[in-house]
Amino acid sequence: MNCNDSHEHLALRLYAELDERDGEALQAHLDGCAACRTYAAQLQQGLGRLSADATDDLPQGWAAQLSERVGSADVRRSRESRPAASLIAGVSIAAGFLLGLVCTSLLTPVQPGSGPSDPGPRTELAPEATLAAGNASHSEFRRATAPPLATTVGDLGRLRSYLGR
Amino acid sequence: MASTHQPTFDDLVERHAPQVFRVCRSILRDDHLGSDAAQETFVKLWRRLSLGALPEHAQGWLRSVAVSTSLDLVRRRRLQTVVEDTESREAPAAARPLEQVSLAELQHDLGLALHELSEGQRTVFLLRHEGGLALREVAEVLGVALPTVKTQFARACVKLQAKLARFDPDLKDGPR
Repeated sequence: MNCNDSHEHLALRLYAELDERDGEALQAHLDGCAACRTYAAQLQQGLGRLSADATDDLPQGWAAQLSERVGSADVRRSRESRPAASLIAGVSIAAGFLLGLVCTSLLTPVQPGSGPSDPGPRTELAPEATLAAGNASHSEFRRATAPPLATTVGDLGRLRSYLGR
Repeated sequence: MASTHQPTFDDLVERHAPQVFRVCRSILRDDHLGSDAAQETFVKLWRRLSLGALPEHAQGWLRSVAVSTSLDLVRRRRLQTVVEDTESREAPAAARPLEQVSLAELQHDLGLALHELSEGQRTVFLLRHEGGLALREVAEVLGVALPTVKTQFARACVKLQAKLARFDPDLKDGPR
């Protein structure tokens, strides 16, 4: 250890930040170096006198100022968040409306003859008529007479009439 | 079944405000600015709590926020508290042993000498010397390795002591 290292170690020792191994090396150096022993004493008289003279006391009225500041930050935050809340509400309403439209279109009973095997224009034929025509498969017949899947109030009538059939 | 008690905002203020204030003041070296930065730190905590996100280690979180808030303030305001007239105050003091120099003189000289440190050295020194944080805590707060922090701190101390030693003619030669 040279004297420069010794000075840095002395500074760490002053603040109790020197680990044991470095402490032993420092002591060995100090034992043989009068200049560093003088430096150690002077360090104590200089920086050593200045350390830890600060207090933890908060300034008067600090807590009251903080509550005031927190209160105003809270108001500001709620003001800032209000437009965002209206936007979210608007988007939710629009999404609900769109979802309703999609559901309504999906729940409309499928008309016979509109399957992928029949891409042509729909014809408003009753199942009986289709069967009578002799060109409808059994599955087409079942699909045409399948119960409505809806559970909305508007479709309950149709469901009941189907079950009562 | 053990119930975990979540500290309220008031609990955290009561428990940590003195240390947060001390840390802020150590960096800003001013009671008023330190108080302001400490309050800003707790306002940030309040915002976080109001989002339902209590920091896992409140004390460490508060220290980090206190340091970053204070450093931001230093950079924003470009604090140059006494640098402008450093030259005029550097009038040669009467040579005398350090033990005869008053504490006020030492404090004044320390204030001047701090401006001659790099920002890293100054921050580390102030957090340990005035903020009262252990170097391990300083390393955590700054996100720097402990050996680096120790080196910065030790070098800062040696430089500052050299400035304080201007009073003492025996110490002006530096290390031999």
